[in-house]
Amino acid sequence: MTRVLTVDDSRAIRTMVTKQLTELGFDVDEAEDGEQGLARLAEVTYDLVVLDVTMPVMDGPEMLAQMRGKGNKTPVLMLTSESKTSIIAGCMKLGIEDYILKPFKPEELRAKILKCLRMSPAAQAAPNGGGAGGGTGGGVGVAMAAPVGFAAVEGAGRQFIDVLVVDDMENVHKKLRALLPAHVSMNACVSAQSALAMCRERAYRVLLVDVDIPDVDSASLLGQLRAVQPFAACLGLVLRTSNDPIAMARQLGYDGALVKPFDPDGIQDFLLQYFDKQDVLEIEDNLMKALPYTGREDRKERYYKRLGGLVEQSLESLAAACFDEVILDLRAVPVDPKRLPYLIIGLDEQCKKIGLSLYVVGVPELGRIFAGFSETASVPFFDSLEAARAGA
Amino acid sequence: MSSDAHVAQELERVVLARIEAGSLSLPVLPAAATSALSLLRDPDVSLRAVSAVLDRDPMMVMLTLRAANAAVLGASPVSTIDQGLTRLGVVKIRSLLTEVCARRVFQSRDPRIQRACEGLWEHSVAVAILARDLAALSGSEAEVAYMAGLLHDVAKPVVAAYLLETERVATMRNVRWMHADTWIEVVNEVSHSVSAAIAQRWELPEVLVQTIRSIGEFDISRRNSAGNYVRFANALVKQQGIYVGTVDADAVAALVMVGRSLLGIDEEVLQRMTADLQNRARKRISND
Amino acid sequence: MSMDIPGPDKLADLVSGVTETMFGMSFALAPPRDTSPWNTMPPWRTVLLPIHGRRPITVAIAADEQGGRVLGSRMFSCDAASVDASMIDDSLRELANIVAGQVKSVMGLDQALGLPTVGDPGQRLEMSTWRAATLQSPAERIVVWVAVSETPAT
Repeated sequence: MTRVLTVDDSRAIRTMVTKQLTELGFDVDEAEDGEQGLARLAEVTYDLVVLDVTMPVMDGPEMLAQMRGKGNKTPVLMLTSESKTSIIAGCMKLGIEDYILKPFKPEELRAKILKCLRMSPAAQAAPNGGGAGGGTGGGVGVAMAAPVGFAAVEGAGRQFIDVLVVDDMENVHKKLRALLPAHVSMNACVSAQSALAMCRERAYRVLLVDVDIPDVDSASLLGQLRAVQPFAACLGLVLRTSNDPIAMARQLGYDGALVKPFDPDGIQDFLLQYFDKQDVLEIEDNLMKALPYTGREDRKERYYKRLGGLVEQSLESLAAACFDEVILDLRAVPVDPKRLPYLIIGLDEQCKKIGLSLYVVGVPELGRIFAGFSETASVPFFDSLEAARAGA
Repeated sequence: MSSDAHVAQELERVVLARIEAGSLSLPVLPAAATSALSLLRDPDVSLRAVSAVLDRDPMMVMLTLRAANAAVLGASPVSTIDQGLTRLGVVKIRSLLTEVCARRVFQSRDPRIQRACEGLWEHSVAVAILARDLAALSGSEAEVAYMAGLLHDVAKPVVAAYLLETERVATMRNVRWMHADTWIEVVNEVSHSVSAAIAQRWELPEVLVQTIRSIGEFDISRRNSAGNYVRFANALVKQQGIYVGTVDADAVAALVMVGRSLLGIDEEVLQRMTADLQNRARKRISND
Repeated sequence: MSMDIPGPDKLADLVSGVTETMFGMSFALAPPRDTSPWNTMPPWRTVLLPIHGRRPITVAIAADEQGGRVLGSRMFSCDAASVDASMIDDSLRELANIVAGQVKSVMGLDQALGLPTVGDPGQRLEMSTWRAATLQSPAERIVVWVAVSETPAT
C-alpha cells in the first residue's frame, strides 16, 4: 500500500492532506514538525513526504537536510506559503520532487501527489494494488483529479463532442453551426484560454482552429491542444485567399484545413472525411441502411467508396454478434449501373468468407441492373425491407 | 552580497537619480513611433491620425506593412499604411511600435556593447514570445506581457553605454577601470526597476511601466498578472541558455519551480512551449 | 524593490483570495464601523506572525468566536459544532501564515516567514502603528480582521 507522511505544524493542513490522500486509497501518517517527521521516517518506509517549510522545533529544510544526510531518498513534495527563492533553491539542491505554493486547491494537491508517485492511470484507480477487488468506498476507483494548468485530464467521464471551433469571430461559429447537420455536436470559443479549458473537460473528434487567433502563436496553441486532445484531428481555419490552404495549414502543423468563408462543398467534404459514418450509413442490428446522398455529382465516387468501406468494416462485428444474415438497404442510394454492382460483388465475397448471407434491398431499377450480372444475380434482392426480413 | 552586486546597486542608484533628473542621455527613439504611441494612449484615437504620423517615416511604413501582411495568413496583401493599421488593430500596433523602440536601444556603435546587445536582444525577444504565449493561454494580458518581455532588460544597454562613457572619462584621468567580465556582470545585476524608469521616461503606457517594475518578484497575490508571466519566462529562457553572462542555475531552477506552481503549468507543457524557442526568437529577429 | 504596506482594499483581496482558493469562501471589506477592532472591541482571538529581516513586518489575523468557528469548520471540513478552540487557533494560524506569504510578496520582501503565535484572549493592538481592515463574508455573516505593521511582533 502507498504510504505518505505529511509534515506540517498546521493540523488543518495535515487534515486536508490526509483527507485527500485517504480518498485516493493511500495510507497517511502525520507529523507536527521536522523532528517528529524524522522519527516517523526512522520507523516506517514512505513512498512520499509532503513537507512544510516553516515549522517550530525543526523546520522543513532542516528535516530534509537530515533525512538526505542519512541517505533517505524518499521523494519530497514541498507544500508551503514560502516562496523565497534562496529557501526553495536550497531545498531543490537537497532533492525535492515538486513544490506547491499555498493557498492551493485540493485538486492541485492530488494531481501533484499522483505525479510525484509517478502512478499509471490504472494504479490511480486501484492504489492498493489489489485491482478491482481492492476495496470499496472512496479509496478505490477515484479518477485522477484534474491537474491545474494545461495538463491533460485523462480518465473516464469526459463528455464527447464532435467539433470544437476556436475562432475569435463569433460569426464564424454561427455560420458553421448553421452549415453542420444537427447530429454533429459543436462547441465554440473565441480564445486560446477557453479552448484549452474546454479541451481539458471534454473529448473532441475534430478541432477547427483559426490559424490567426489573436495574441498567441498558432503553432504553440496547436501544440497545447494536441497535448490535451491527442486523438482529435486538428484542422486550421484558413482564409480562402490563400493559394494552397491545405499546404499552408500543414506547414503550420495542422492535419488539414477548412477554408473561410465556408461553402457547402467544403463543409460536405469535411463531413465526409470526419463524420461519414453518420452521414453515409446507419446500422441497427443486422440492418445496414445507406443514407441519401445530397452532395455534388462529381463527388459521388467518394461516397460510394466510403459506403463500401463502412459496410465492409461493419460486417465482422455482425458476424461476431452471431447474425447469420446481413440486410443492406440501398433504396436511398443514387443508382449507378457500374459502381453499385462492383460494390455488391465485393461485399458478397466478404460475407461468404466470414459466414454471412447478404440480402440487398433496393429500387426496382437497381434490381434489374443486378440481374444483368452473373455475380450479382445470385445475391438475394428485395424491393422492401419487410420482404427481405421475411426472406432472411 | 557579491562585489559585482554591490557595484551594480550603487550604479543603479546613480542611474535612477539621473533618469529622474533627466540628466542621463537615453537613446533617442524614432520620433514617428513615439508620437504614434503617444496618440494610442487615447482609447478613442482614430487610426487615421496614427497613420498620418507613421506615414512620415518610410521605415515605419515598411515595418507596418510587413507586420500587417504577416499578421493574417492567406489574406490578400495590403499596400497602404491605412489598410495595414486596420488589419493590425490597436493592440498589435502598440506592440509593433514598442518593438521598434526597444530594438533601437539594443543597437550600439561600440563593438563591445553591440556584441552584448545582440545576445540581450535575443534573450528579450525569447522572453517576450514565451511570456506572451504563456499569458495568452491563461487569459492574462498577453500583449502587455510581450511588450514587458521586450523591455525588461532595456536598462542594460543604457547602463552599459553609461559605463562606457564613465570608462572613457576614467581613462583620460588615468583612473583604474574594471575588467571586462566584471563590467558585464555589473550590467547584468542592474534590476528591472531601472528598465521601468526608462519606460516611464519614454512615456510608455503606465500598465507596461508597472509590469516591468513588478518583474523583480513573483506577485503571489495576483497569480495571473502579466509581470508573473514575464518573470517566469525570464527564468525559463535563462534555463534554456538564451542569455548573456552567468546565471545562478539554482536560483533559476527555484524560480521555475515556484512559477510552475504559482501559474499552474505542467512540466511537459513547458517543454513543448520552450521547444525550439531560440530558433523562434532568431527567426523573429531576422524578420525585423 | 520593497513597497508600502498594502491598504485595506488590498488586504481584503489577499484574505479573500486565500479563503476562496482553499475552501470557496470570499470576504469583502466591511463598511466603516463605529468601533474599530483591537482597540475598542477586542476580537476573541488574535494571531500574530512576524516576518523577520531587513524590514521587519508583523501580520495579524483575528476573529470573533463565531468567525473562528466557521473558518475552522471550512479548514477542517467538518460541522461548526464540532470545532473546538484548538482547531480555531490552528485555522487562524494557518490563515495568518498564508496571508503573510502574500503580504510579503506584495511588498516585494525577500525575507523568510516566521512562526504564528496566538495572542492573549481579547488582545488589543496599538492601532496607530497598524494598517488594518475589517472583513465580512456575506454568505456566512462572519467578520474577521487583518492588520499589518512595520513593528516587530511582541
